[in-house]
Amino acid sequence: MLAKRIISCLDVHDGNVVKGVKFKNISTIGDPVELAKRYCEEGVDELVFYDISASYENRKALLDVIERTAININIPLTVGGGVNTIGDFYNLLYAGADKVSINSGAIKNPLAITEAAKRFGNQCVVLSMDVKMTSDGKWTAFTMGGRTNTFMDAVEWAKKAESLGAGEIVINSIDNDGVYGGYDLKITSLISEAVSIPVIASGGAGEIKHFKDAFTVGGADGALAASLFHRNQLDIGLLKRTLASSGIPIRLL
Amino acid sequence: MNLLIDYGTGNLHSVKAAFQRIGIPLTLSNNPDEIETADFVILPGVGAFGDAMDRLNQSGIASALKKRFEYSRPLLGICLGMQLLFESSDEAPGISGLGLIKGHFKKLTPRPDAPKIPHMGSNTLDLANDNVLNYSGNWAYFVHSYALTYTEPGVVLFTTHYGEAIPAVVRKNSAAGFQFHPEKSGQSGETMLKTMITQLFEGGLNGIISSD
Repeated sequence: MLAKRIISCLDVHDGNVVKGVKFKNISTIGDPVELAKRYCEEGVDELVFYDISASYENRKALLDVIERTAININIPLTVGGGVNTIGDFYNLLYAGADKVSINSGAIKNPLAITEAAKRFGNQCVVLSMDVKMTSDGKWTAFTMGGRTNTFMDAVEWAKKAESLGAGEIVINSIDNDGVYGGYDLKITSLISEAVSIPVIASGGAGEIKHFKDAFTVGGADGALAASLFHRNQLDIGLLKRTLASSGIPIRLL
Repeated sequence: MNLLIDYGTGNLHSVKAAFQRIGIPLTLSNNPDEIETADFVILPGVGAFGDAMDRLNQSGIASALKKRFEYSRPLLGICLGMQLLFESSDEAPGISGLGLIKGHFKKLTPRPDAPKIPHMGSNTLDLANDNVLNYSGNWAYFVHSYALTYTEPGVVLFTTHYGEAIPAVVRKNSAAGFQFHPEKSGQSGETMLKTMITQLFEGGLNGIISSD
């Protein structure tokens, strides 16, 4: 039976893992390679490196960090941040990424999804979308770390990305990010029902129940968390054993 | 020498590192002559069937692999690399694979108990009827949208279940393939590699796996 995935996201800034609240107040948490190894040993199913400054400052993700990490782990690694062109995909995949996530680059040039899928396969093209509920009550895609409203309906954008060739969608809730109140289950389930590619819930995990809700209520295939794991607020082994004993298919070590 | 074929399809670091850990050091190569005669060759795979076959054909690697197979030299395909051992795929209509083993890959279709494509994540392996391998290990990491539909008797050794039985480990003569990524399957992937690799190839891999 296919297991639901627990994904640990490391926001990388200048070669360090950092965490902010609602994309602000950034603080350093540790070394990406060491953290990646630790998560791998603790039983995380996948890792994500997200170069949070790359999109804004037009910087490339740190290829040497990826390279050093890839040889030290035995689980999949997704890398994103500042991805715009097929060349960015190539560089990140060659450095050791298994999947590449594209966010504002795909909004600027949606055909980048198609081009990358054709060259590297759909499975390694991840659409990452930053979603926020606007004052008119609609979930909308934002870019530039939540600074810029694209006025694109989140569900419509997800469907379009699937038709362009994306193999997976990560839904980052800007409203819920870093506040430990649970994932945005509504937008997660709306998108999960609208597309037939895997959907990952992101932003807001604070306790075990939130992960269970992401899978059962949100229909997510994976659930991503960052600071909850980095700050040891939730033990990954305990999380996975609890989910497994409540009937969620989970990979146990 | 043991080679990992570099044909421009992405991440090779983790395959190299995983084989290093089980005592099989790999050298990257895109040289058809080396690929034809090396002790052991791995055809990795991230990418699309058509694009990958174009690269293998244009570089001369495709004919080197066919000759390897004629001479019964061990060859392991991983994920797309496994798919390329067969004849064809829905992913690239009209394009011939290496054709070492009879078989076609069809696009997976969403089913009520398997609604999302690609089939992505950890899944368990089941023994197929024809299995002759001893096996330990459990979860295997899959990420693919195409599955082997038919092949010759005896080729499928393990399957996984995702809406239907999907061939996961195959072998014919000196060519074997994993649909999943053992190098991404955590500790159980390494255990699987260790226990399967010596059994997969006729005559074993004597002299290939270092004793330390």
